[in-house]
Formats: sequence, structure tokens, C-alpha cells
Amino acid sequence: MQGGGVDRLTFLARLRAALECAELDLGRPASAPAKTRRAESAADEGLVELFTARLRASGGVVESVTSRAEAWAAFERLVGERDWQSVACAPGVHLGRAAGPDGADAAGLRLTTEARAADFGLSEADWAVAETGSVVVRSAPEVRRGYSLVPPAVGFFVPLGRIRATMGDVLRELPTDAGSLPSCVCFISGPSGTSDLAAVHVVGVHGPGEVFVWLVDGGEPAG
Amino acid sequence: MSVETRRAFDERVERALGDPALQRVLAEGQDYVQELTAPARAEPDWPAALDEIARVRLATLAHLDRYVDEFATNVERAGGHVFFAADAGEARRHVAGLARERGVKLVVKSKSMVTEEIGLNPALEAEGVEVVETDLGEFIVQMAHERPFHILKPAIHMPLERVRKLFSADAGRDLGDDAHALTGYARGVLREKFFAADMGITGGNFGVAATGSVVLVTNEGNGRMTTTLPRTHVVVMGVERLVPTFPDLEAILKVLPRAGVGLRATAYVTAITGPRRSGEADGPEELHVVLVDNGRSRILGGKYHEVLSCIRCGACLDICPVFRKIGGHAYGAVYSGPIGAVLSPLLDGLECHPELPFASSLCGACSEVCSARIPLAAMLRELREDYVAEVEAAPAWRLGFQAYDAAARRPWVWAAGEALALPFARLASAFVAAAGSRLPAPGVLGAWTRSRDLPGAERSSFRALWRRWGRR
Repeated sequence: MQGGGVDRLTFLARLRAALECAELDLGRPASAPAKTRRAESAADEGLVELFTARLRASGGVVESVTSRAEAWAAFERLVGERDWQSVACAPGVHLGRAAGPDGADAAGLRLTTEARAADFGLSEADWAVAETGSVVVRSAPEVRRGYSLVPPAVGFFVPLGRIRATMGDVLRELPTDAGSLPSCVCFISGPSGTSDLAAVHVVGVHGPGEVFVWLVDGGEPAG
Repeated sequence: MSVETRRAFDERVERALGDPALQRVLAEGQDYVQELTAPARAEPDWPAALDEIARVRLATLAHLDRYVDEFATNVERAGGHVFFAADAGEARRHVAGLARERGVKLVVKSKSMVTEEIGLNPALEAEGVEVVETDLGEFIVQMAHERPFHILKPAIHMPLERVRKLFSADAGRDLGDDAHALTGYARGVLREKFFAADMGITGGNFGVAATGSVVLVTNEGNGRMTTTLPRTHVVVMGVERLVPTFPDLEAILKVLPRAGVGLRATAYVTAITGPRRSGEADGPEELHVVLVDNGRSRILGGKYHEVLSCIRCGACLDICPVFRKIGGHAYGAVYSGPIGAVLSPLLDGLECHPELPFASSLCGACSEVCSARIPLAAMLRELREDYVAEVEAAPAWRLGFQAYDAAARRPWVWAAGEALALPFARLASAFVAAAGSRLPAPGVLGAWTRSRDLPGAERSSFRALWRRWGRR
């Protein structure tokens, strides 16, 4: 232990003593009542439209596709238009293309697990949130945080079945114990930005400056 | 309040008031944020969301000891470490010790007001550690050797031209005055720092007791870089920043970005639970959470208890007419604006910031917009009473109020005083009017007349008018 701070019991006792001497009626503890509202089905087109509108308003690009193959084709078109050379992604995301990570596939696209040198980072989203236009990604052994963070542009495949109405709906689906949670769960609601400099809004500060989402109808993520 | 603290405060205020560029930035900045946040405040479910935030925060504070224990247990279950810091010194020493033991040479920091509160950067620098602020606004004020100006927008007071000079001097070439180009320069510099850093230090917007998770609400991506790339991640967090479970964050995450910066959601909301798990290829190898008391347990359970509910949205700063004129630096404290005027005296002691509760018009706008329903204006009034009762009760003030009390309780005394005073008041009024109403009053009354025109005395007292109009 560093620095010789108070021990845990003393620290907690100080808080307890303050509460026991409370001058105010502090009420009883209560977590927020569980929302009994049904998490709306992603088949609800209203959610798809809302998600699309909200992410576009934040500066993201959204395209709806009818299959994962179509999603990959749309992604390859984008790569071609931008002349990107390398894409960082988890092995499962590239739909079993001929070359795995750190090799080039037939289209000459180099797939890699190293995000720093990549032009683009591609991830599977675990959820999407219609109200805020957010995608949600969880870290995992093959899913690096860096894929959605380090490259200057990033993209996400989002199965329609994973769209939820609100952030609260996703928060309620998260595991409730520390051991079951991944080390990182991130809600991403558009490109990074700031207005710190003379209140001028600038996109692409430290995080990616471009966010692309392909909403994929039918089927959960591969792998 | 002591003459020195009062004089220092007055000097800071005069400096702010006498800076036309700052006055323009403050007014435009507040108008801009109010315009951005107005649509959210007009939504029908906004009041209910604020009520929910207040409910969750107060319910948590009511059993904070239990939730802190639960949070710490779960941080450790997830593989992290928890340090309990009774005060700023303990927190500083612990983090500096972590850096020393690991041979840390470079720290990247995401914006954290509590690390300002504890004075962390100088402690690390004394260990030979380079500390780099990575939030763009914090990067700018660090380069300028200034304190953050606003709890959310640290460099909002800086004109573009000054940032151009700072960055150009750092770069060794003129970078121009385009905000995008200047931001691009900062991105390039800081990117190298992120990848080279040994340690990342962040605050924590909230801690989730049930899972031991630390939640960061950010826009620039520096928070994610700081918590992903360095091998050690240290979180420094006020002990009051907990919620029981993830769902308890729902109303907070809905309100915080909209009240603070007018966004439906910030670019990133990141929940960190422990260091990287077995098999994960990135993320820190170690996570240390430093829970800071530093006076919060003194506030807990007392008459200012509710101030601990603050979610640091900045809304009170962005509505305050006093902040609009004097800005953040004039407060002379880490926390400024209405929340700072309440919190700073409570954390540091009223004798350290005696002028802050008085740096308010008590218009109540802060209480109206507060995302956690904290009665800030009422607290400022209460702090003024505390000041008079505990810190400074000058005999002259006491005598004066005793005299007023005696007169007000005895109508005949009041009437006699009126009869004596009114002719003199009319004479003085005529004299001042002849002098163009600009004549400053002598002594302590000069504080009133320096910035106000002295009103003329009426021909009749209110009591006489009241009798004349036939009302009792």
C-alpha cells in the first residue's frame, strides 16, 4: 500500500458517524425502480428511423442493409472510395474472408489487429440505442478497445435485433456483478468532438473523426 | 472577512470586469450555452428527470458508507485496487507513490476537477514525472500555467489568438488561427503522449457500487485513450460520486450532457470495471481507484448535505449573472460559480473563502436549473449566516443590527427616527442630485455607491403614505 492512508474501516466509520448524527431526514435507500416497460423490439421501424436520425445528427453515417454479406460489400465500397489500405478488426468480423488478420485479402485490403497503423477500425456492436444514436461495444479477448478508438475512422455492424430504445434499456441488460462484466463497455454516439477552442466545434479530436454504422437486418453477429 | 482575502477577491473581480475581451467571451459563452440547453429544459419530462436524479443521489448519500464498502469490494473483485484517502495529502502521496514504484516517467491525464482539488500535478512533477493534460481545454490552460476557468470548459475564456501564440511557441512555427488546425496540432502532440505514457489518470464521473465500475462521460476521446493505452490506470474520485446500480444512471446520463453542453449524448460513455481481463489484448494491466474524502464526510449528514448530490453539469455556472461578469478565476478556488461558492467554503473552511457566499445576487437561477435540485441559493444565504455567526461578527455590525432590531420592534422609536432622519435625507439627496448623482458615499457606504446611483429621498415616508391611503 502506498502513502499510508486511513484504513477502510476507519474511512467507512467516518462516513457512518456523519450519517448517524444527521441533522436531516435522509430517507431510506432505494435503487431506481426497475422499469417494467418492455424493451422495444428492433423490428419496430420507429427505432431504426430514430437511431438513424440521431446518429446522423451527431455526424455519423448510417446505412441499412439486408444481410451481413451486403454489409461487408458496403464496407468494401467505402474502403475503395477512401483508398484505405488497412483495417483493424477482430478476426470474426471479417466474415471469414480468405485472409485473416495481418494478411491481405483478395481485394488487397489488409486486415490487422493493430489499431495504431490502421486507416479504419471495424467492430461488431453489442447494442445500439435509438434515443441517442449510440452503438455499444464491449471489450473481449478478441475485441480490442482500440478498434473503435484509435483509427481516424471507425465503423460498426449493428444487427437490428440489438437496437434498444434508450440507454436505460441497455443499462438494465448489463450484468449486475463485477465478475461478469468485461473491463470496458463503451457507448459511442458519434465522432469525437470539442468546442473548447473559442467555442468553435471541431470534430476528430483524440477519438475518431468519422463513424460509420451498417444496420444489418437478420441474424446475430457471427462468432 | 479578512482585509487581505477581501482585497484579493476584489482585485480579481476588478481585473475580470476591466477586461473587455473577457466580458465579451463570458456573455457570448453563456448566451450560446443557454441557447443550446434551452430545448432540453423545455421538454415535458425534464422536471421529472431532475427529480429522479435528486432521488437517486440522496438515496445513495443516505447510506453512503454501505455503498462505498460495496463499491470497493467490487472494484477488488474485478481485479482493481482501492485506496481510501482521508484528505488531499494522502491522495497525492498515494498516487505519487504508485508512480514512483512503477518507474513512471510520463502520465497522461483526462480532465478531473478532483485532481485539481488535491493538487496532484505538482506532487507528480516533484517526483520527476511529466504530467500531460489531454483534454483540449486543460491542455491549453496547462500550457498557459493557469487554472481551469470552468468546470466543464477549462479554456473557454481564452481567445483564439492567445491559443495560437501558445501552440505556435510550442511548435516553433506559426500555426495560424484556425481552430481546426490548432486542434489538429494538439491531436498530433497528444497522440504521441498517449502511446508513450506509463500511467493514465482520470477522474470518475460516477462509480457503480453494485459492480465496482467507474463511468466516464466524455467527448474528445482522451478519456478512452487514457484508460486504454497506458499500462496503469488510476482513478481519483470524490467519495460521494456513487450510484447503487447501472440503471440508476439512466436519468443522470440523460440530463448531464444536455444540461452541460446541449448534447443528447456525449460522444463516449465508458464503464470501466477492473483492469484488462484475462485474454483481453488491450486495456491497462492495473487499475487503482483512489476514493477521496477531503472534507466530504464533514458535509455528509449536515445542513449542506444535498450539495454532495452535484453531478457537475455546469448548468449553474452557465446561468449565473455573477459568473457571467467575473468568470471562474475571480472565485479564487478550484470550484467556481454557484456550486463553487457553496462547495469551496465547505471543503476548505469558510475562513478560506469567506467572500464566496457573498459573491451572489441570490437571484436563485442556479437553484432553478440545478440538475440535482440542490437549493444553492438557500445554501448561500445559510453560509452567510454561518459566516457572521462563526467567522466574523464585527462589533459595529452587531451594534448596528441590535439598534435596528430595537427600533423595528418599537413603532414610536421608528417614528421618532423617521422624523429626525427624513429632513437630512432630503438634504443629502438634493446635494447628490446637484453633484450629478455620482458622488460616492464615504466609508463602507462607498461600496454601494461606487457602482450604484444613490436614489433620491421621497418627500414622505412609507408609513405616512400608508396612513394617507387609508390602509392599515
